[in-house]
Amino acid sequence: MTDALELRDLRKSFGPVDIIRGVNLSVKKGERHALIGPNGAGKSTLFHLISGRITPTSGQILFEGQNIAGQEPAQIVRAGLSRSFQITNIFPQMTVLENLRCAVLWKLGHRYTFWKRTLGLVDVAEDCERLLHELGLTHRRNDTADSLTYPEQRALELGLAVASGAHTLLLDEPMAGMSHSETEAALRLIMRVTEGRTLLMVEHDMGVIFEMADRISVLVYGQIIATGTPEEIRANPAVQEAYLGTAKEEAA
Amino acid sequence: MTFPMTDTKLADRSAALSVAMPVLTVAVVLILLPNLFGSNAMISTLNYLGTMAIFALSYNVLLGQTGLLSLGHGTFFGLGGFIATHAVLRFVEADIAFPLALIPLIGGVGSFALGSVGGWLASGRGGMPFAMITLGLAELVAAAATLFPSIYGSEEGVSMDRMDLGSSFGLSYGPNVDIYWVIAVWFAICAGLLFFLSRTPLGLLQNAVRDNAERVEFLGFSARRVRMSAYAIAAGIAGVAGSLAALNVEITTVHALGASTSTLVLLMTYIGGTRHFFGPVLGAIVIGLMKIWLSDISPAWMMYFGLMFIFVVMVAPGGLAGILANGRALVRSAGFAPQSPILAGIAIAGGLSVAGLIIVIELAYRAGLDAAKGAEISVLGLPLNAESGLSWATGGVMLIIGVIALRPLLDRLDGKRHAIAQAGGAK
Repeated sequence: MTDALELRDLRKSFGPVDIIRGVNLSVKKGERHALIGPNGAGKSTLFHLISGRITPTSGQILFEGQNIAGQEPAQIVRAGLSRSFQITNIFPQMTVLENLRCAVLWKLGHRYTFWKRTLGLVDVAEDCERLLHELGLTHRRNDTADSLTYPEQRALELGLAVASGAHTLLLDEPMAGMSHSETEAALRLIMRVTEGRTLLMVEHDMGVIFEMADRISVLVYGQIIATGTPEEIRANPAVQEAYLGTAKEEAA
Repeated sequence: MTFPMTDTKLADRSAALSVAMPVLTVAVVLILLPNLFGSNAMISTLNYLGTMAIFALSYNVLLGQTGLLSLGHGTFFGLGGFIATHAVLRFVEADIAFPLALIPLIGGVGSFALGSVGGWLASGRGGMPFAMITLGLAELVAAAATLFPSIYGSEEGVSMDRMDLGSSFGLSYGPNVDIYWVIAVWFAICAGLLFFLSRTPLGLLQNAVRDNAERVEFLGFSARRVRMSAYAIAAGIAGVAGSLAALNVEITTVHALGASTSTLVLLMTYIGGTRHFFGPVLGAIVIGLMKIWLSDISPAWMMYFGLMFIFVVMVAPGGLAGILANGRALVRSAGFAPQSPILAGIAIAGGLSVAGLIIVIELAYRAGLDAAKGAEISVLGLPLNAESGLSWATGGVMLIIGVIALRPLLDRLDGKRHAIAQAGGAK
């Protein structure tokens, strides 16, 4: 089985500060891979590196065998790797439907078309309709994105990443800031819309991670200290000390 | 999946209706105008307003549609004017009977080409860097004007005679009304094209860049290319407007591409309202008329301009079009009747403060700048005197009473609306 995504000795420093200190990680095609780690471990920075928001200092990011390190975000998305954001990053003054239309345009080959009306594009209409239904946002289609409730905005955030047609998705804390029942619903939504795709996600909720992840990698202080199935990670003494231990303390 | 299809068809039909109405209205208005206002002076005013309306529509592709604040849009208006003027001169020289009505096409294409180059330079980022680069480019072009007097003319500009190309399309282009028809048709073409653009995927992406340029990149698009496209399209249409202005007044000077032109189009577009397609047209008409008529009546017209701009920025960011739309929604709503006494009070208090402000401003101009004209002055029909304390007090008291009365009235309006909203919620 080939890897969808492989990081080789990836490093990033901001001035004298090393944030990512030689990360090696492989995400298999079709797996749900969770990235966990204490605050400040560099999880978000790692996502920014993979998605092209920032450029790595050294190392390789192999996406389906191609090194994408240092490429523009748009190039990476076109290659088939898209992401969602921890802080909701949508088009606030546009309607839900318009948000989704923007996200499907590239995939359907319409790109920067200026000689056809958007409303006349049947493939766009159909794809958006399907997405609205999957995301449970059909009844909010004509509302502006900033008028949505927080879980609805998170669903749209996820929807923009999914709509781009990418087969590998980076989800940065998709459940951040949600209540327990909202998290349940969000988890079901993510499982549904990412069916058959490769997933790398940062999440803090251990219940969610152990329920959905095929494999887990633990990032501590800019390095992956362990990768394995949920059971392996739970049993790993180094992880218990570095991460789960502190999580228990926090919970207590 | 039959639902999406019917939905699309329904949307198509309602879209077709919502397009047909404005198109008919615009066509009827454009045809009626010269018949209603037939005098030569009025036609010349209409010609000016028409060119400015096209210019403001082009600017809104940047400001309203893509969220880009250009401080140098006048450049392309002026360049369009120069290209058109030189085109006419060259055709006359070479004895080619090019139809005058199509000259704006040359100005537009030329400006579009120059705008593509400028857009490539300016579009790397939005916001502040974009505004600064457009300002720099505008200064650059204005400075270059002094280097090439053969292109820009010197102080007196470049002039031409629009009749030299002979008649075409049944128009001799001598009378102003002939130019009116040229401007009216170009207005319809430009407004139609820009309206269509706003409904295309590119128009949608321009809105997306306005809302959140970074996320556009993460959807596979280059925000830079979207900005560039907006810049070039806006430049092209501005070039058409500049060409029409050149045909209308038969002379183009460096002032056409200067900072004052850039400021004027920004004011027109913003005051008119950037979020409604025809907002900029409304702004061009209101500001254009103020510029023509108010400058005859009052030396303080620039001051009123500025005050109006500040008022819109602070109180009504939707512009005049936003005020009209909100007003229409309010009048149609059920809550209008109970609110109307308070609204009438606000109108009276507001009117009183504005009248007071106008009196004070006019007296100040008469006492300062225009002291040579004597102290006697008539403002809003009142015989006043710039040296009389009573005159100053009249204006001052009106202004103060108006402003003091506004505060509790606005509070009561808020309370009333809150009560109406709650009553509505309780049902």
